[in-house]
Amino acid sequence: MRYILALLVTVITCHCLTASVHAQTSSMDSQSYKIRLGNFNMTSGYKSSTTYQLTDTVGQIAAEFFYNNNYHVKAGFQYIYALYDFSFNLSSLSIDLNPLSPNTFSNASHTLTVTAPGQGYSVAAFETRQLTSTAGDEIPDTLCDTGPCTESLAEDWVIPTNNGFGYNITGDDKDPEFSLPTQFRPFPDFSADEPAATIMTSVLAGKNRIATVNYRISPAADQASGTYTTQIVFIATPVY
Amino acid sequence: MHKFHFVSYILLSTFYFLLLTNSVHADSAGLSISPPVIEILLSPGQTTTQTFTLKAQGQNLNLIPEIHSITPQGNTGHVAIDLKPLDPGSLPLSITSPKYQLGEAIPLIGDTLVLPLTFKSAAEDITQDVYLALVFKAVSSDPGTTSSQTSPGISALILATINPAGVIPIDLDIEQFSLALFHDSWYPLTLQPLLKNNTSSMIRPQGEYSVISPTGKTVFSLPLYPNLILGHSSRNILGSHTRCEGNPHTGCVDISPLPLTWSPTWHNLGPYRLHLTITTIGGTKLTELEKIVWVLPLRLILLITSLSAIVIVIALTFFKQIFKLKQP
Repeated sequence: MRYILALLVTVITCHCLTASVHAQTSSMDSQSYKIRLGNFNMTSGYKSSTTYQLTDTVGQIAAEFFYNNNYHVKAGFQYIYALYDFSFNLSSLSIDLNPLSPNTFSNASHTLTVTAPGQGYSVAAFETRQLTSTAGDEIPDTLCDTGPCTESLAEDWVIPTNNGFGYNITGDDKDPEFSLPTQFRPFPDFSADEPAATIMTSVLAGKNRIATVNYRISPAADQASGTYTTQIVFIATPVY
Repeated sequence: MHKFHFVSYILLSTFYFLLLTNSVHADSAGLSISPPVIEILLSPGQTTTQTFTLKAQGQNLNLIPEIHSITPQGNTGHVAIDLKPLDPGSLPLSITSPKYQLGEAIPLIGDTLVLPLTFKSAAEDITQDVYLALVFKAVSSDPGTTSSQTSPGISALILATINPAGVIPIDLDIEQFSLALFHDSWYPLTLQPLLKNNTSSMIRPQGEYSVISPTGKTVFSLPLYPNLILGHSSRNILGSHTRCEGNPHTGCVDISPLPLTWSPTWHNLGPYRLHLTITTIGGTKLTELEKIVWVLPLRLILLITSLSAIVIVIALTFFKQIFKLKQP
């Protein structure tokens, strides 16, 4: 009996301790009401009387209106209630496509997570150069099967003898160009002055929007052996 | 026995906490930036400073702050970033950081990087806008040599107007404010107009969409969402949830945009005027447009007509039969 009591006390203590770790959210609701606070701050909102009107975000860093005779600066989303920061997360900083075999697909993937207040966001992607070995040999970007697919146009790529390197994207807010998981396209090449490709886009605020980037490579039979690398850059941009 | 309880307590507590701990990938990277957008109105030759705060998660990261030019894309407030970093000294709005060198890698120490930027406008006596993005790229400080690398980047928009006169030129056009002459009162009426900014200076106009009945009574009104429209670009005109009171310093406090949708009721019949007014934050009228639409119960009329036709056909057939029977 004492052992059970001790066990019970232990579990309750643990639960209380962990419950106190979690931050309270700025949303209160029941079946009949829902209150949303403007920011994760001390306070925020719209105040007015017959003599003044004011929006404030007490505690939010840098969301302010600064002015004097020579400049005005509006920082942050003062016009809307920003419920969260603009953030972007990449689940992996490396792409491991090894081992590579001629005329055989190798695949790798990782996720992108975006949280955007306001009226949405976009994520653009590009490669700094084509996959290049230390000896200077290159694995070309994919042209897909019957394409050719381009930096903005995705096409089916299921035949591994059509060699190259490309990607597709699945999940939230993906570029609608990728309507099927078999459709791929090459990354824009920064060294060739190609503009970045939009891979995720939304006109709505969203929290933890997750998409998966799937990389695919199939080297040719006569591809010189070596270690081929490049850098893929993803840039998240808010809507103004 | 007490020792047994103590050990149980420790083991259970440890297990419980381990279960609740979030998993962290050492190879991942996360960035958040504040503020995400700034608007600057600056006189020529003047200086102002804004601090950007970047929070980063990840190990062995270097952060590279760069300034890129941007161009508006579409009608929804998206921008396209020019991938080549700009030389901040070459712009009419020079940008410097007293703390870090733009374009050079900064090792991430802790999880927060505070970057103050000083903006100084050129002493030119012309009104001009400069649209830029402050891009932070995160790169691993220990990149492997056997695999390709990925780099996350996050950007904050810097939208600046350099204005010597203190008066912003305004030239706005309402576009795509077109609709059919008749509308079925069964369905909601949604408009998707555009507001085009013909000047090179950005503007954040306000306004109101209203529906006026044949008797002159306003049956529906919606304040417009105070979206920013960059120079020589267009933006969808949207409504907002709350009334836009218009404060010269803080603008409106609307929660989120919504489409311009009016749902007629069964008694809304006749020629209705759809009125769109665009104003400044101070309330000065900039442009307005009005269209007339006839709201009619088209579906009901069609139904009644069809039923009447069926009844007439049945009646005619019936009387024809009777007439035939009465024939000798």
